[in-house]
Amino acid sequence: MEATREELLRLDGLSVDYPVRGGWLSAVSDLSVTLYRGEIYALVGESGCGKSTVAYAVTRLLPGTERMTGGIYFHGEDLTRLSRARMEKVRGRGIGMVFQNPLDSLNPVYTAGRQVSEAIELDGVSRQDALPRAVRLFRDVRMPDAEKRARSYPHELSGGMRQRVMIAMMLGRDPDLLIADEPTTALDVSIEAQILSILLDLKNARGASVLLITHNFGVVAETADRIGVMYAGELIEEGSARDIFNRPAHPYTRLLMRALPRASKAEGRLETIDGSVPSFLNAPRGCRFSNRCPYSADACVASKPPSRTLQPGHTYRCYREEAI
Amino acid sequence: MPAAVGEPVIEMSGLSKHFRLSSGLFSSNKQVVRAVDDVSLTINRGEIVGLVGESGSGKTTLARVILGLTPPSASTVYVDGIDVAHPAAKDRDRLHREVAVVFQDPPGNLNPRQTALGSIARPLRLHGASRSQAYQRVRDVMASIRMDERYLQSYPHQLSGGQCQRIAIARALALEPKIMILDEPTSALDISVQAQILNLLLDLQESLSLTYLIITHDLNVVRYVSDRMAVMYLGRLMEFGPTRDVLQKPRHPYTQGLLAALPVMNPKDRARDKPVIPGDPGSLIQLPTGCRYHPRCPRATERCKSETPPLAVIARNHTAACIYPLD
Repeated sequence: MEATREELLRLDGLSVDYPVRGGWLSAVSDLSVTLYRGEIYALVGESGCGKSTVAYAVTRLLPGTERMTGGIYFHGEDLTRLSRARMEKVRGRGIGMVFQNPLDSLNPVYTAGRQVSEAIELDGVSRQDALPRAVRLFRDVRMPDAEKRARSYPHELSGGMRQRVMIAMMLGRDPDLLIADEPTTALDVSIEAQILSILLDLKNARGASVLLITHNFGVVAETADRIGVMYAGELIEEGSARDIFNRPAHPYTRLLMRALPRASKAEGRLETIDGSVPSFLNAPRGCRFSNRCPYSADACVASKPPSRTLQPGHTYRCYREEAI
Repeated sequence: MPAAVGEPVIEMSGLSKHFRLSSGLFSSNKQVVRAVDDVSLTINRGEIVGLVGESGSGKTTLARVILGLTPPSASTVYVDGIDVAHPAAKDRDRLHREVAVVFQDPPGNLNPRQTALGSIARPLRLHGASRSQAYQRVRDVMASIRMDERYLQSYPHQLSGGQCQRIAIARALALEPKIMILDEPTSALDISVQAQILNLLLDLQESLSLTYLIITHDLNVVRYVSDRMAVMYLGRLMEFGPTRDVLQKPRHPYTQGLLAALPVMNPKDRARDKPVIPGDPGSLIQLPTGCRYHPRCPRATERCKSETPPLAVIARNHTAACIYPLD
């Protein structure tokens, strides 16, 4: 199994800083992640941890004022070196995107079917052939009343249907990698379950590869093969979904897992983490979690902990494992 | 006379709130949004009731009616025996002191031009406290929510989401309420901050013997905090009972579907071929006939299309509105 894994996307020491008054704000720092073909890799973290910046960096949709270093290798090609025109070709055909608020991404004056067929036409399909294909894609994403909905405008669709249009539009290009940034955050639970089952179907039936970006641990527990936990711009732990949930190693991951309300109050109070996710104008030398960490020691403030391997595939960055 | 612990403190029977939509100048068919329809619910002193439902279920409208922010279309709500839609002049002040509310979007619910001190002190001043009395009370409230007094001089934009929510809770506590309506109190917060706020709310409820109605779409939050839970769908109450009973043995197919849709909290609990509730939550304008859930219900029969099931007792303290309740 291990030997057959084919690398699709590799982030190599990716750092992104945004200019702010008085200096640079470190949004993502020295992030290295590899995503293999056919897996769902979830990048999780609380707000401000930099996970969405990663999505925008990979699709090269950052504002342009940022300072970015490191490599983003897709099919072995460094996307950071591509021209704007070449990148246009990668977006859509190579990398498809689904974002949190589909209404922002849909054109209000075109029907849903037209928007999907327009995406298909980009690949040289005639207009006549594209529309029936759009309807077929609507069926693939289990759109109720697919023909009728193809003739609907975005404002006539519910939130769940709009997200289905986005997924259909993305599928129309048949991309190698799907980036889903909080794809279910604005949706009701029953609709969230429907969208997640579509994502899982894409993986299981089509072998789709997904970079899932979310703060929702339920969504991750339901879908992810591997998880990278981010905190304040850094990857602090990475492992299989089961390892992260059942054998978390980093203090932050451990505390988060115990902060999730899983039982009733009769079982005791929830674990809390003092303070909130900081943002760094002048990034500290040491571990970025050290000022909130109950196990923090001098070493944690002095320098960055190196990556340690708990077992193959499960790594974390912390000095204090013997204290925990 | 305030109700004793365990006595009913919020009561409604057959409560409805309908909104009329104007459908154009020459159109004669007036469309009606039945946001809350024939809801009967009793909340007892000292308990935490969770109210869950998807968007359009009417849960926030119900909260607004309880708060007296919008008048009911039929029947009324009694809080401590006071008719909230028509309180006698002498009861109005008591009602406003006794019932407090905390909304979802913490920074959006604080005045951006007022410091935390100003926000918390304002209801006190409006109810006649002197400046020094108000300040003393603000300090007491800050102590009870375990927040440093230095934040009193901060403006909302200088505070994090969790800190803003603490200030909103402090403001709600200022008048020493007996009842708190919490509308999605943690939905905008990160997990670690959500845990802080949920713990704080539970501590306050115990130490001050408060009654909570927590409105949320998050079943995990309801499971954690509430003693009893109510499930709404398209304006109607579908199920009501002790939280543990409802979660372990849901009687309404909608509740069962919601629970199945809830993401697991550990990858080892992943189920293959999870049952998925089909379709979308319907529209409050074009309501289905009969049981409102029947278009999505796997158990629905012809009867469900014509009969509207009333809320009926299914088990001890447990009611459900279904012709074919689950065993």
